[in-house]
Amino acid sequence: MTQAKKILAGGITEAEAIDRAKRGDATSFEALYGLHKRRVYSLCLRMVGNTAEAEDLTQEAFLQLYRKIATFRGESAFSTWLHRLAVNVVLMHLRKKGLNEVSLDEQLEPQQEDGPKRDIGARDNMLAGSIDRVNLERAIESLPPGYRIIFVLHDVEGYEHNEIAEMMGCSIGNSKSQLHKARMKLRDLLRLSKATEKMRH
Amino acid sequence: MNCAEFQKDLPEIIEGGGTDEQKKHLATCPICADLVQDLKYIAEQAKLLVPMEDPSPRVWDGIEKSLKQEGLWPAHGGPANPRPFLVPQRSRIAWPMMAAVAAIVVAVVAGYYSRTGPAPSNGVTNQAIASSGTLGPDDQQLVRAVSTRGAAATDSYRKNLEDVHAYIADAKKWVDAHPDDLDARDALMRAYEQKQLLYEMATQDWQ
Repeated sequence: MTQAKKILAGGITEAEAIDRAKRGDATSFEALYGLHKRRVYSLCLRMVGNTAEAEDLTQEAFLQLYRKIATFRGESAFSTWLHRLAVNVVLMHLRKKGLNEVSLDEQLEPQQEDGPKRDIGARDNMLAGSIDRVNLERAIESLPPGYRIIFVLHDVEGYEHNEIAEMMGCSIGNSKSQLHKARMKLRDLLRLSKATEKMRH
Repeated sequence: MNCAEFQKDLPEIIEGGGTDEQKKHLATCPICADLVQDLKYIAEQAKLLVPMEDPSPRVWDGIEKSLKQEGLWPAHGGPANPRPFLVPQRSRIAWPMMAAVAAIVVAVVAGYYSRTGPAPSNGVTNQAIASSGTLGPDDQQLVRAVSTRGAAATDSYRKNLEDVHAYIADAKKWVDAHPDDLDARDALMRAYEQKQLLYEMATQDWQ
């Protein structure tokens, strides 16, 4: 559905709501909140892995939206613009918390880095067809923060490595390397979860 | 090619498909084939994740409360007025135009005072201006002039002037940090335009 065709409460389109919110119309801003709150909150929650923090960051993202909506020029979709704003709010928050100490230097366990994965007799533990949403969400939540952020931005939210590198202030190569490590870590977590599940039954 | 060599280039292989030699290894090595399949599967499943939860109602309550505290939220919905962020869709304006707009702001103020002279001061005005730490002499004169419209209007203009100054300061920082960024220049231009609008709104009633 295109931006112009989204109909909000009150029968106005999203584009009309944006225009009115730019002029300070509170009702239209509330309608925009209703339309985008779920995705912004999910983004924040996946990036920080903590409900209370995610709520605070959602609030901050929409406060910034209210202050900055007049600068939205429609060069990209409103949702794209808003989500970029929300990502920046989360990254700023994580920087303040000292994300840099854990993010880009995050190391995998030595045995995973030192040589190829052997996985002897592990063919029956392949993941294909076995991941459900809950397991995957849980595994993402338990990733180290640096891995989690890159994984969420790239694989869940669909940002490209050059965009991530710009937002995170790292190189494209670093973003690719972190994403790979994140996927490897997720694979371990999901295989462990699958094996545990198997033992239970 | 052995597994170690293959897995060393795994990110590139997953992204780009790999070289002929890597493809050959992939076709003959079940360990590496499983690994590649798992990693691709994880990436595919992640793309299917959709937002599932709404934030609790207290998030919206917090937004409304903060905006009210900042004086940006109207009492009963509808438009907040006056609000500095009134600029509609803008066109790209050249950098030197910023100086021109800034000059217009000064001219509007100078024109207004040359016709009317400074407004009489009173208790409300002095109190309002005393709390206007971020306002320059021109702004303070404007607030003094607006004070004839009552305390609410004075407070509102003072607050809007402070907001627009904060906006100008942010935009200037952005321009300083990224002198070649057109968006940054546009933001500064827009900030000055908003200040101009505020002055025009304040002086309209007397013209």
